Amino acid sequence: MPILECNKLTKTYGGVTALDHIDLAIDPGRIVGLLGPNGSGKTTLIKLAAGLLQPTQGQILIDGKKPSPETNAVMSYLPERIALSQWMKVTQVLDFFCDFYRDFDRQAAEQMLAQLHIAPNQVLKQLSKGTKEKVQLILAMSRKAKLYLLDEPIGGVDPATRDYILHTILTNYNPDAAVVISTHLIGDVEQVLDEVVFLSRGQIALHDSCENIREQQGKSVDQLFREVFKCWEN
Amino acid sequence: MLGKLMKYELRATSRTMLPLLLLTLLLSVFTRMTSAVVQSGHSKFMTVINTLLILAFILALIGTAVFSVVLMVVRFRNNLMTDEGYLMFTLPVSVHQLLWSKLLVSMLWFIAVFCVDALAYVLAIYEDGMFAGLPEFVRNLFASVNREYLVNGALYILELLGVLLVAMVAACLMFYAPIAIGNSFATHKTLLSVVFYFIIQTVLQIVTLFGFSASVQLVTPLLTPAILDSTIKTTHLLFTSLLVYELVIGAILYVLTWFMLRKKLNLQ
Amino acid sequence: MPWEFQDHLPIYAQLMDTLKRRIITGRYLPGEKLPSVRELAAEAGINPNTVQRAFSELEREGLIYTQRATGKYVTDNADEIKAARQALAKTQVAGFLSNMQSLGYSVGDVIVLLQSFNESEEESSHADSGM
Repeated sequence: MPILECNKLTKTYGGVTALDHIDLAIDPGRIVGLLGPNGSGKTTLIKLAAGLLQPTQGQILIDGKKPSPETNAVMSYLPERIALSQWMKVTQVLDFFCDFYRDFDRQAAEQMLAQLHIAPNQVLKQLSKGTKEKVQLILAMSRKAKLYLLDEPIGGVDPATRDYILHTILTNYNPDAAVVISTHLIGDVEQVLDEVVFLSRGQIALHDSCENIREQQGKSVDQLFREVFKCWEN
Repeated sequence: MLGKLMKYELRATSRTMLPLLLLTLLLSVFTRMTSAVVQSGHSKFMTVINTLLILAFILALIGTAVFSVVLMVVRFRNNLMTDEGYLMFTLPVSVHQLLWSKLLVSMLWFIAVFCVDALAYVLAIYEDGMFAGLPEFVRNLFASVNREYLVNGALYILELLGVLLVAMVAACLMFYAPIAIGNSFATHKTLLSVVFYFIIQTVLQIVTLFGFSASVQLVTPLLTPAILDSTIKTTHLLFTSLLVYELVIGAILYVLTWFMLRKKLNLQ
Repeated sequence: MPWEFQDHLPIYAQLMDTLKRRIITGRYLPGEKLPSVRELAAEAGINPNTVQRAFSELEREGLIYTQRATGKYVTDNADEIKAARQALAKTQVAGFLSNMQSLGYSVGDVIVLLQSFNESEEESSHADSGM
């Protein structure tokens, strides 16, 4: 059974269609890149899965169920903005996650904080935006979830941290869990991905495995992406 | 999970509420102390200080009450409807639990503000022997209530408390509902929240007016001369009607808020 | 550091190539245990299913084998490794020759060129040792 499934999923904001009858199934054990230019519907899709938005039509299922507290318990979501209370210390945020998520591995989180030289007794407000993003990523990756929804995890970080993040995703790999990474920096993540979903103006332009793309097209996903979206804009 | 939510809600709100309440208590003590100095001597300087302190103290009494309401509104909006909502609504907790954690902690602060302000007031005007008559007063009050009401006076107090608690929840929801509706729109979320606040207020007033005239017809046959004769029994009837009224209003607003957060959530 | 991969080939094929080289050059000795899928994925910075696929292909070619529950090992069969080495050498030569042909050299020209290149290498190494 797919861990994430969309059936004719549609979302409109006012008169604007952000997602247009999307059909998509993502199986456990897969690391999937959700790729597309800005405004293609990547974040909308992830927020629908996280239950922060409601579908206009169609449905989205996580582990066979509609988004609910039950699915939240098995889904680890990294928002594209800072969602933590800024007055909290890093340790208090760890307490928070320990309290609410049964699958949160505090030791793993503390280890990653140490590796990235983030002092746990600091108040979030005092940290730079990049460091706050790192804290959020560490929190999301320290859970043993069935589905990871990472919205632009490598957007605002330096190359060394980006390597660290991708390394973390790989070392945390679990054959029973799927990871969805939305990004427009394809070249950086492509080696890590099993499959890619190209979103263009709310529709799926392509859904294939990375190795198939290389084998059949003789080019990297990054190159293909540039071509596909160049054509579409002409 | 409700307990855990309340724990963090309490932690977040006490950062501002506790210092404020402490300040109120300190001001009351200082007011009392400077008043004593003013009474015993003729220091002009102390009189000025005392006047300023009394002014600050009154402001603190009003301020704590106002602030507890403002905090209730701001917490709901900031914690659920802005970036923090991304975390709160992806926790494995239900919307009911989120709502009740906010409602219960707000109520707790309303009660705390009432108690602390009352205590501060007593401290500020404290005189020796000012409570000498109190035990007798309470005893007389309960005795008269028992006599008139034919049941335990404590029950009567409970009835009053019940009305107050339900009214507090309804008062919070009076803000929560329009904020939840306003934020379900794509743009102008805050403006629309305000607009819906006034719409809900107006609708409630109209409904209350009609409801009131209807209930007068309903209640009039019950008003036997025996009931009308006894103030305490009329009050009982008033409390019961108020309780039902607040319960109905509260329930409608609660379902409305819950529905908007569960089915129409639109964080962006 | 993630490994570098070329754009025009599947990553599993490039990984197979790297692993073969490691076996042929003795970095992974015959009978030695290979890193796990997870370890190799993390080291190379690539998807674990891609690593799995490279392992499966190598296993089909007979260069590695799976021991249930303990992991994957380099074959003990020296002939298999030798054959892989020869196959790799052949593809290298074929690629080299086709490059040379595109520059207008015949196979005979290339052999002459290689011989003279080899002699001049020997001379310069003599000269070095004479200093």
